[in-house]
Amino acid sequence: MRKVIYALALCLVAAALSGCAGGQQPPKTAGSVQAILDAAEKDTTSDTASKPETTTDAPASDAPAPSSNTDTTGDVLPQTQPKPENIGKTVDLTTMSSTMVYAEVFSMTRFPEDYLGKTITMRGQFTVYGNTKSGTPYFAVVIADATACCSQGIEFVLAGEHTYPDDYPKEGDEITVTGQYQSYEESGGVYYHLADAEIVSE
Amino acid sequence: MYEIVQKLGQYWQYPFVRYALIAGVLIALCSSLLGVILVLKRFSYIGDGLSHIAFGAMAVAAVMNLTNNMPLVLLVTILCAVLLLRGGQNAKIKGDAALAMISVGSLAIGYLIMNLFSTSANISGDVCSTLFGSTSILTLSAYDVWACVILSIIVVVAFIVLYHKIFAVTFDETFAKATGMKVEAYNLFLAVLTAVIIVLAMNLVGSLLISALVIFPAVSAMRVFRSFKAVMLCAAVISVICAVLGILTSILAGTPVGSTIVVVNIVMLIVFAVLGKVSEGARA
Repeated sequence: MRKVIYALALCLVAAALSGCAGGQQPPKTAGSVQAILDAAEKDTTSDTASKPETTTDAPASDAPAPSSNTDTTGDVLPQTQPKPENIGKTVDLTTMSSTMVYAEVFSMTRFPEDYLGKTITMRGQFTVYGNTKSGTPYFAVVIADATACCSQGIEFVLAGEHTYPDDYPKEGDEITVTGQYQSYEESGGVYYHLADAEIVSE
Repeated sequence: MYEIVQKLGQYWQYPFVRYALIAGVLIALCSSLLGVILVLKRFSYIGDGLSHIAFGAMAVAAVMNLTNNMPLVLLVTILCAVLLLRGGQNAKIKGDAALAMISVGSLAIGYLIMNLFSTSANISGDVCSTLFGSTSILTLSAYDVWACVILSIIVVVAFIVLYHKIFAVTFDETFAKATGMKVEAYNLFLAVLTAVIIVLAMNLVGSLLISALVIFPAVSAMRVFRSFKAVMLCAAVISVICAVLGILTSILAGTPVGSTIVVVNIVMLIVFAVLGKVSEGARA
């Protein structure tokens, strides 16, 4: 009987300590396009809604306020230095299966520091989000998981001067983007994106 | 074939793939050991019921914005498991009716709460991810894996140490009680263990597919083997093989992890059913 009680107690302690929560959701971090898309969806109903702290659906109040059809490259403020061993390293998501791509992008949004400075190439759906009426559009490449119910994505900023919508694909188009994974700060939050990006193919 | 091996070698470099395989194997091992007992005690559907209860608890935790929903989910699931496995025998609403009511009720209430109070705009994504597992097993951290390792060691050691008692309680409770065994305590232990394994296994296949992980390996093993020990060992081996094959297939082919593991389990059941017929024919 004592053995049973001990085993039971140990079992409970281990389980309580466990972080293996079922249905674990992608973290709503600044780098998570899922979080951004969630906020963007709310934006469509209320353009005056205040910006959630962890999303990028509105421009920083102290940043230059570009018109809605200009590139956002000028807003980039790199904050975290990439690890020296990451510079020049590449992560090509186009050669992976959809399950692996989803897991890898999830990992990028969960542990962004591990990817800073790496050159990422990924293929997914082109998405524009943000407060389209009053501010800056943000661009992302979004991938869905195998069950197509969850999506993850990475924001990108094209290298050079570009005008939206003229220089960009149509929303929903499949594109391949390559760029360096970097962080930037906006509205007091740290966000991650592919800087100096290039749309390799549409 | 060379390409597949090369691809697997490439994927092995990713920590989340290694974590998924370790956690997948351990969860499969534990659920198969438990599965044999649940199938023999005619509680096959308890996994499904408890996972729905866990889903309801998760919805409440999500609405409450709890950063770690584990304690709440586990507590609710354990309480319900104890209620169903122990109290069920004396309750006015018995067995499968009580299980069905609690199960469906929790699912409905959970979904309703998520719709009414959820702070996420992606309700369908949240629900789908919890129900079908999605790629949760590929998003585990090292901490999660260590928790699985510790839990699995506890479960396996408990099964080895208490093997004879579990055997007695599984097959004949009345006889076990007559011999002076604390049957109630063992049933409580099994109820708690069931709840904990179900909550953990939701990571692997999601709450709708969880029963497969519990039932299929046990039933497959029973097609071929007759003794309790042989069935347990065979179920464990089948479950681990199916989990590994399922995870590898899903990362190679880009299919959903949970449903791929279940399909591999179904194929294995068919194989063992044929093997069982063949061995029966040989014995006759």
